[in-house]
Amino acid sequence: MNYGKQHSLLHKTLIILAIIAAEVWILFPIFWALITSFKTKAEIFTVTPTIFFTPTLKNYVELFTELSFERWMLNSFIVSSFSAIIATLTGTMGGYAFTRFKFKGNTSLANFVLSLRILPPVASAVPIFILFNYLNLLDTYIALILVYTAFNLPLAIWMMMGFFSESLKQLEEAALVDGCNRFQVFIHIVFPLVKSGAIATFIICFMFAWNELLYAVFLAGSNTYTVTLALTRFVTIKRIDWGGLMAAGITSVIPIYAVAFFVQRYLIRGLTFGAIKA
Amino acid sequence: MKEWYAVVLLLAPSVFLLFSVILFPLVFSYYVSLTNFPLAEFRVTEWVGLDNYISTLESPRFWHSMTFTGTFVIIAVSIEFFLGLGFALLFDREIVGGKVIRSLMLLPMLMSPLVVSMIWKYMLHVDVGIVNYILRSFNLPAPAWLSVEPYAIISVILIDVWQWTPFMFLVLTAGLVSLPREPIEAALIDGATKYQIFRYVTLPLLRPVIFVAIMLRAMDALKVFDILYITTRGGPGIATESLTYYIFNLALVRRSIGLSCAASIIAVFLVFGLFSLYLKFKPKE
Repeated sequence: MNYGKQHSLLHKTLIILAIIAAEVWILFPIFWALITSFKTKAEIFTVTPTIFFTPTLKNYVELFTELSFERWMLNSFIVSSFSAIIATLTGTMGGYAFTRFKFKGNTSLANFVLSLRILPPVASAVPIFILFNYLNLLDTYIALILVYTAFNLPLAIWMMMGFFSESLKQLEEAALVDGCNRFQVFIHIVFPLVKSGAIATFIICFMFAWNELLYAVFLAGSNTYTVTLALTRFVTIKRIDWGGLMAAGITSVIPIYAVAFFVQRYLIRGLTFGAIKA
Repeated sequence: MKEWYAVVLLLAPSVFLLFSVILFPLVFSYYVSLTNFPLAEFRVTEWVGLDNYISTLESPRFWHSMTFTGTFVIIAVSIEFFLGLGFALLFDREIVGGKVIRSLMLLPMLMSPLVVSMIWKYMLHVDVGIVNYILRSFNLPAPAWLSVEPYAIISVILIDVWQWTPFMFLVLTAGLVSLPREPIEAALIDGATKYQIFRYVTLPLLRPVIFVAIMLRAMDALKVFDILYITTRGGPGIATESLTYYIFNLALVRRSIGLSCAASIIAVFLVFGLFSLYLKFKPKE
């Protein structure tokens, strides 16, 4: 808000300095990781940080030549996109049921669904690990897809509930009166109205799945190494190759930054489970 | 109209998924928590009743993890809130390129906590880290941030603050933008000072948003795992062992599945308790 009064030059300068300080605090670590990813080992293992150096792509090239980073990215991509698609589809159906139909226990059931999202993943990871071991599902895509879908589903349902409650109910009622059945109404009237919401839901579910680590630690293995799990392997080595690690980290973040750009408007809904709309 | 038919059909896939992948495992976890389940044999060998719960509640290590988690949540979320509110107020004005500048502030929270932790692990490295380089160049002590007691706790809080202050910033900015203008303009006309407007008009109007932001962040911080897994592994000793890390450790490192399930069930009740508080006080639309 601008409160209307004219500010002194000193006041303005202080504000600008504070904004710059905030930006530096937030951006410096990312900048530093980026710089490091272009350095050689010799340039990294110095007590005085090297500021001037000839950037090299060696760290990035090694990710794909000496390691199979593309395979891990692919694993993450398969798991994240399938789970996000299923979560969005089932979440759309669920969200529609919760917003358009009055039935007994409607609100409490919706709240219960949301509470499942708040649960600590570690609490379900241990029993899922045991059960999936019995079912021979460990180290399969199906295991990770199932778990990420269920883990994102409450979020998807709640985001879609928000979009449905904003779309016009009257349009649907008019179509119903005109003799369309519920299914036709859903396909021809409702879904087009919430399409962009569904895409945002998909992308946010994708991001959560892509960034997830704990379930992967329990359930993934050599066949299904996700990017996050692969990254942990770099860290546990005794003498860490910081350049390679930073290059891997940056590479793993690129897809997320790319998609996040498209859903900026919906980020708040996604991160607050639809509690705050902006 | 037979609407229940549509409801059942629409909800069936969700209910099936949530039941089979989340609820059933939780019930199973409760069952295992009442037994002995050696990882080597991978089956229930003996029924122990509430023994696992009793030894969990009697374990100093469990209570230590609870204390650490509580401390972590309270300190980290408080700093994130005040810093986030400060940033939101600071950026709440006409700035050249404001949109881009605000978006840049959100970058940390989009990264996986894992990558964030890796970056900070490097920056806080005792020898090659930039933080200690800067400290040394001012002749300040350069501690081993991640492996000495008070510093390890400070470090993991710092990492969480760096990553999640943007969340508070984003939500509170949205709150500020959506505030009605009339009460503020009325207060201005009545000659209120800037501080008075903030304290008696803006802040009370913002209260519902603040509540949602703090509660969601606290429930999330309660589950802290990735930062610890990458940076301190719960160390030095057990100084930074959170409740989730304690459960993880019991399951995969100390290999006592029964105990870890008992601790999980306790954690689930804790989180449900907090969540029902959230629902009870959540502002209605």
